[in-house]
Amino acid sequence: MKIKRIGSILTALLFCGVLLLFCAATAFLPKETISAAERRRLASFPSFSWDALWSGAYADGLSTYVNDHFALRDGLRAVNTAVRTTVFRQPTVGGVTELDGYLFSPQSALDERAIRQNAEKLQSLIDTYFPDQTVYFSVIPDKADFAPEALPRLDTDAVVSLLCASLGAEYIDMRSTLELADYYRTDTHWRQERLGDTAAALLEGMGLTLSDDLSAGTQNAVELFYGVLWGRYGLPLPGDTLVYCATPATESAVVKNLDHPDVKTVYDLQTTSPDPYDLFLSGASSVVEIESPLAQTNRHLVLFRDSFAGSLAPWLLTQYEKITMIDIRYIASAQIGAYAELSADDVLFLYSTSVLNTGGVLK
Amino acid sequence: MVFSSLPFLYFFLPAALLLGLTAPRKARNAVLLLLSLLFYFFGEPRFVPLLLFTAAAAWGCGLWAQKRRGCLPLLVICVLSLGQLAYFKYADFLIGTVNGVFGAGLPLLRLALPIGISFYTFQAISYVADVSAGRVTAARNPIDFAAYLTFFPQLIAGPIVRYSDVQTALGDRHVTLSGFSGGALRFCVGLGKKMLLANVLAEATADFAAAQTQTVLYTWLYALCNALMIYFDFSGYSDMAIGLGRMFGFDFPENFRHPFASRSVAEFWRRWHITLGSWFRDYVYIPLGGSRCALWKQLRNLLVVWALTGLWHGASWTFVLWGLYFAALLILERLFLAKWLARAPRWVAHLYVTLAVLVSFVLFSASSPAEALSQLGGLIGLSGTPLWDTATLAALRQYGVVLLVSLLGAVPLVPLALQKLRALPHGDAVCAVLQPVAALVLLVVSTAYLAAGSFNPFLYFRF
Repeated sequence: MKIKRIGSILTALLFCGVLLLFCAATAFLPKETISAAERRRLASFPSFSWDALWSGAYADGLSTYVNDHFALRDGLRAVNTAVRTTVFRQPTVGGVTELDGYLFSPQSALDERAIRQNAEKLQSLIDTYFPDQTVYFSVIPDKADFAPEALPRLDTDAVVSLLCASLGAEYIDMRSTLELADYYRTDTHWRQERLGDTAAALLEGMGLTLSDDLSAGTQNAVELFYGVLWGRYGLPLPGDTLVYCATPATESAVVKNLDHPDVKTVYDLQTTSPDPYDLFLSGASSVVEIESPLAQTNRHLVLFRDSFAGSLAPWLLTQYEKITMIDIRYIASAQIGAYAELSADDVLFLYSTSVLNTGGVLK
Repeated sequence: MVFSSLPFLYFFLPAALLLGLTAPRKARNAVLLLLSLLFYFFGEPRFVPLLLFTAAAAWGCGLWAQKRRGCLPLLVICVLSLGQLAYFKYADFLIGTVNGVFGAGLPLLRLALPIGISFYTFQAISYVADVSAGRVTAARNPIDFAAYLTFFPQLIAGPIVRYSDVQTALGDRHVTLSGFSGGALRFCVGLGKKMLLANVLAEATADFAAAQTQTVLYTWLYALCNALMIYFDFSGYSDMAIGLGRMFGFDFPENFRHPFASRSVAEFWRRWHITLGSWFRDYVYIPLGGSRCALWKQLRNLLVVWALTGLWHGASWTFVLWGLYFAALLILERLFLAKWLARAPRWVAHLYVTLAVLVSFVLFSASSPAEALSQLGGLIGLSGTPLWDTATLAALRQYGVVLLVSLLGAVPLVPLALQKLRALPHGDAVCAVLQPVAALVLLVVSTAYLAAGSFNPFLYFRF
């Protein structure tokens, strides 16, 4: 009976202890404003109003605040991932799979409707702005395509086939130039210093030749780059080293960014973005113009793109005197004529499969 | 507010335990009432007056029934309770049905459903019915009665606690150390069932819904995950409610007794959502004549009760069909199947119940009868999909261990093992050590799942 009583006392003490410990720690520990792991601003304490109280918005706000500022949140997220992967043997946590130190976030369901919708949007750009011009497109495969084990993944061939069938543009296949090591371990993006073959394939597709090896320039390292998948996975895996390459062409290039007018350089080293990858041409931007005084031609490239192109564009600076990069996720297609010069020698659509497979993102 | 949320676990619950257990004896029920109203207000502020109105109406009808035995007080509370249930829960179902049959084009009301309305209205009816029948004495103190009807552990998802279950405890209750710690352990077990199993199985069913090809094997995997998800979600919630009740000095009735160990559908329903089944038995089936009447009346009674049981679970034809499906099985068992099952090998009976239940929950979770038929066809390869594909194998890898643990947890393996352990020398000592360790691990790991922002709605929240 005595041992039973001890068990009861321990249970009651531990239960109440855990409740009180987390309650006090959450209430009194200093609060962060930004979650680095999730790359988002954490909720602030909700402001009180009778309307908000009666509608339930105040209670919802309090719940979000407690969830966001819960004590040891990142540590608990790591426990969640550890239990799921080791006890329950779940290979994927939070949509992220770890294989040989690489994190993958494979999309498996092909959304044909979304791809056709995006193809129609791109075709409308061709019809509106480049009706008499050869337009090129290329597709950036997800790194799950190169995973060491077969993962449920988006069928890149199917994406390309759908685009080829519905888009009046010439396809440039550069997938064979890529391998797993060309991507960051903890991020979805590719590594700039390893894109030589990819840039060469794209230029060759447009009738040009890569003449300058960006990776032979100075390779600057940003230590402890924790990519977007790192935050989602939860376990404290080692970070990557983010590398950006500097050459005379990148140093002399002048950038005009519609959304970040103060930034004039290819690499935005002062960026305050929580995503270090945003140092490449300031990350998410609607219209970016790069003038390259060291270019060997006077050609102008209009590049419709997503975030992958930020690290690729510096490879093209010796072949184009001017590169206009347009991201129609952040500017409506109908408005781009007012903000960007569209009289181009070459036009390239360069999108990753994850963007192409998502409906409604291209405006 | 749901139990499996960080604000409840680490702010509301410590405060509620502190206030509820330290309040002076005379003020305890008033404190519980205030805490329960705060709990409800946090999730549904607009419907607090409706909850209080129901409590006041049931209390008044109870006193009335005590003074003047007869049907009128019961009729009044039925009209008031079922009226609000009909208005909030079934109005759009009726309008939609009328529109579908007659092409009337009536606009839908699109009303929000007050949380827990299906539970507290049934408690109000059972209370007045019990007072009318002289099974309990009416509560004199409105605060005591309101504390019972609104008591937060059972307010939003049951069990359907009858006044007679807690009448004594409402008057005078003692929280013992073993009661409190047993309640804490039960709460942690329920939380673990919800967070570690039900929510992960819900992810599996969501993955199935999003899969490009729903292969035969994947459809079976879905059917299993779906049935187990519903079981662990609801029984986990019931465990949490029972555990919380114990921590406050109340003994709530059991709601689940390992239903997947049943050998007939009738037995399944004696083990599944017991408080709902007994409610329908005592307040609908028996008043209709139960099984002490002509065979055709017995069958009619079964059909009525099970159509209502289906409708209680949701305002849609799939739920009605779900109820009638069980009625059909129960009728077959009553006519001949039960005798045949009793003679059959145990595994045949278990297989029959498992298949019957899997099919039932496919129907339960489908958005329409057509979707249910398509999925049931998928189980036997009628959908024209392959036996399996890479996505099926990936799902098996992702959820295989969780599914295995769930299967083992759905049968009384752990209670049997603990029973055997206790019978061993020093078994009690081992159990006494295991109890706090289990509570701690389940609480911390469930908190980790919550902190990771797991998908977390309670299925029975809107019933």
